[in-house]
Amino acid sequence: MVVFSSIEFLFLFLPLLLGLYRLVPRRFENGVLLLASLLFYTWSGGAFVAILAVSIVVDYFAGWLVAWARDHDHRRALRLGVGLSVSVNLSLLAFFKYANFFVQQFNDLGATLGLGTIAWTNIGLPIGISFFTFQSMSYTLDLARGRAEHLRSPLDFALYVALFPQLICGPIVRYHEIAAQIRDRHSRLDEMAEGAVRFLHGLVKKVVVADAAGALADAVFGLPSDQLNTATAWLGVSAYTLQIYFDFSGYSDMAIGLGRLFGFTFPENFRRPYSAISITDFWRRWHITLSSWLRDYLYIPLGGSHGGVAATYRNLVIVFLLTGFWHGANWTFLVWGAFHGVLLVIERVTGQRPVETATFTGLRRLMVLLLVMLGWVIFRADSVTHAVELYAAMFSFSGFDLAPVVAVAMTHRVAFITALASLVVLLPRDFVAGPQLVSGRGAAFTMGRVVWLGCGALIATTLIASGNFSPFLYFQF
Amino acid sequence: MRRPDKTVVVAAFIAWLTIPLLLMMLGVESRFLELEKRSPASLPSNAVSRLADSLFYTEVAAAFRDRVPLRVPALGLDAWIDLEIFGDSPNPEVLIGSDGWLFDRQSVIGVCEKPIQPRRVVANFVEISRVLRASGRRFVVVVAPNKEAIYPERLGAAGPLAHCAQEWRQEIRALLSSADLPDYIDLWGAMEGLKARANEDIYWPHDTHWTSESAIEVSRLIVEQLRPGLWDDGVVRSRPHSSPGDLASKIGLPTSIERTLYEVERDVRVKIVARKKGRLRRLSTVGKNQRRFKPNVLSIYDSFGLRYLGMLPQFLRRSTWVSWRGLPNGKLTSIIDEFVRANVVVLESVERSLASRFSGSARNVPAHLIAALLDELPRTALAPSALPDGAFDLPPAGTDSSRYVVFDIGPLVDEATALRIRAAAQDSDGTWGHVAIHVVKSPQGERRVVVRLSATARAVRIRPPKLDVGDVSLVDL
Repeated sequence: MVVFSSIEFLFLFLPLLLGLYRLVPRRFENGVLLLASLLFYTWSGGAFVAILAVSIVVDYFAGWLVAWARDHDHRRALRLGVGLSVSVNLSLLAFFKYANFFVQQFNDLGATLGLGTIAWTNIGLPIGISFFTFQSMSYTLDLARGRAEHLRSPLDFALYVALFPQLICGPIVRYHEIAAQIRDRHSRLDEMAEGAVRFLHGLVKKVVVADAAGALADAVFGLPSDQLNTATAWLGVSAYTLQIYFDFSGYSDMAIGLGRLFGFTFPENFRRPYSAISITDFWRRWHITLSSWLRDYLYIPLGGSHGGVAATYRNLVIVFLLTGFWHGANWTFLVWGAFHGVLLVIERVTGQRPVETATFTGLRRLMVLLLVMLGWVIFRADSVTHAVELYAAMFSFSGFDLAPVVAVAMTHRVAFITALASLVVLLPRDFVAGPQLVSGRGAAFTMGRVVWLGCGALIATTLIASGNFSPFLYFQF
Repeated sequence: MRRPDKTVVVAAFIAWLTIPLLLMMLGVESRFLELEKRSPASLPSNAVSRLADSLFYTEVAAAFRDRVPLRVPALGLDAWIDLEIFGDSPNPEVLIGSDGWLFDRQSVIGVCEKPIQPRRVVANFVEISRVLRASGRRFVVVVAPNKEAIYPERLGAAGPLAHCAQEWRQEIRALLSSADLPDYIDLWGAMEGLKARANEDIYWPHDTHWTSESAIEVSRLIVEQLRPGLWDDGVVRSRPHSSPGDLASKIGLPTSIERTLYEVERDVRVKIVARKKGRLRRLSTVGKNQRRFKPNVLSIYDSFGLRYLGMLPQFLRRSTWVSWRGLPNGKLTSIIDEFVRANVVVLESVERSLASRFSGSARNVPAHLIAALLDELPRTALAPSALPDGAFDLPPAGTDSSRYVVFDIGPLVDEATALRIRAAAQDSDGTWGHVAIHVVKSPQGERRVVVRLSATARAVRIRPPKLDVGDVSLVDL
């Protein structure tokens, strides 16, 4: 699997692609990017590129049908186009991502009740399928709503779905957000500089911070239950809280930066989520492109908050159960989604929603962060039982010595980086480093760029060169 | 960003991305592999037919990673940051002790992560020893102490991690000293004594192994154990010698440390008589007027024993050397025929590998040895008892003896029948219970069923009843 922080991507794929992209005439730029994107996907997913191709072909045809139906005011054809796109993409997801899980559940139940089992060979998961199917569906859905125009060139459409910076890990770019850029965009000094800064910022977040926190989190989450105690469990959960944020947001920064290098402007995916003062606020700051997609294409079509109180609560729970399930075919993700759905309903019931004039914001931030951390336990745990063991250790208030494996993982560098990252997470809520590093003017920002990106990129390079990199967490979703 | 800033950022970014590739194209090679002591990954073949195979790209990436220049300086810088700035180990497998001493993590805390009872390990030694001694052979056991066992004070901050390993060591050391192992040599005591009187460290500070001074001492102890008075201190020569250190290489900072190299120089010539698949060497010595140990010695050694491979053979007329690494799956049962050929077995294992080498499959070794050496062992023929189902009565046994019954089932028994063989023993209270069996093919081609019995067993039988059982022998050791 090729990742943005691997030697082969940084020092082979990217420089060759940038060089070629600059050399070819403008009319071939999309073609070069499409070929590179397909190569990138094949590098990671091998023959699963065929699944990506199926999604592209079906949605291009469905999009054409929807556009025609809209121009001719033909409602049945429009529904047919949308239905085709949604059913094919969801079927791909259901088969490749969830079939193993459902068969396993059926067989477990059958074995328990003595009803027999289904013979089944586990199916491999095409990398990034959750992202590209959602992105592909948004094309027909946006066309159906009249939010964007049909792409005449199938190559342009294929590029929209397969564009490598966001292909396998997001941000999920809804079609109307990028439609104009597919056909017409610029990539000159300004875009290159912005892209370089943003990419390096993400690389440092991922390689220097997330991987350090990840080493600690992996050590704790890999412990047998008899070695877990309160201090170890809280340390592990805190480390994972940092890891998942810096890992995923770092990836998003790199994707946004790469997009910028080729003239694209992708939507932001994170906005200091751990500064949220409510769970509602958290979901406006965490994985924003997924939240927006689900809001536009699921929550609102379900009726949103316009069907009365009970219907709103029902819609919230449905959306968050599906959000959880989108992350993976495991009960842990379903429970995590349900946990957030219920918290959102409680916030609605109690009126604890974000308001500009909220008081005790510091306290609320801490409370929300604590709830989010509790959610990460079930999200990261291997099973519900494993999560229960971790919760038990967290709240048993017994034992404050670290297990040997965790003590070894807790090096001075890891302690320093995680402490620094924790401070960054707790900074005043309006400072978002990625965009600020790109646009900020003045000596302070120049110094920040030199220190953070210069030194950070150097350290990241040494870590990558010494083989200390790990695949991005979100690849598994 | 101001325009000059943007220009600098883009130039630096492009340079960072392209310099490794440009250097590679100019023929600059990576020296990384020198540290890893391996050849570079080869470039994949059949490129065209494998374009949709993700493994093909994995191979391309591996080949590129192995060849990209500047990895050694990057690795060195990463190690330097860890060591000099944070005081950490650049490699989690290496622990940083005090005064620049390095320790192997697995060696220090391995037994804490996978606890295996010392009693089980020692019991296996005792069983092997009893079989060999009963057949007229000698079994010399040497356990090379871990570095931290001799230099615990050099562990520094890592000291507390070693507590459970220290307890394990104390227990196994006490058990080995009191066990029925007449030719056991206590190297923990010997190394502690040598450390007290040596002028230099007897283990390398930056390597897992002992120095040649220790190897000389171990050679002396083994030679004196084999034949007291054979060793001659006058044959030891010394000269300066430097070593890069395996642990130092593991953290990316190979450093040469100079110590005195001790060598044995006798007036004998050591010849390699035979070599098998690079894992076995038969040596013989030629030399007039030099006393040597005449019986055939089988020496099983690991990287610690490798240090005396240049010394010990000079005192042995005929010896066979087998490395642990060369044993298929690390199983001693694969060289049973070598045990048969030998008059003396010298088995060396480093302390950190004891648990893995003498817990699982090592339990089969005594049974294999009994099957192979049956004709040389004191045994009693058993006659069928009056009990039904073809059982054999057993005479009373000594409480501390090891008791085996061997059933000759001829060379013609097929694998399927062999797999169906079961054994049961009758205890002193008259109850029958299943006992473990080993179906072994002796070097003479005979199939034998070896059953290990407790001292309280009164009778034994095997199934299936129609099995054509020949001689049944009782071996009390």
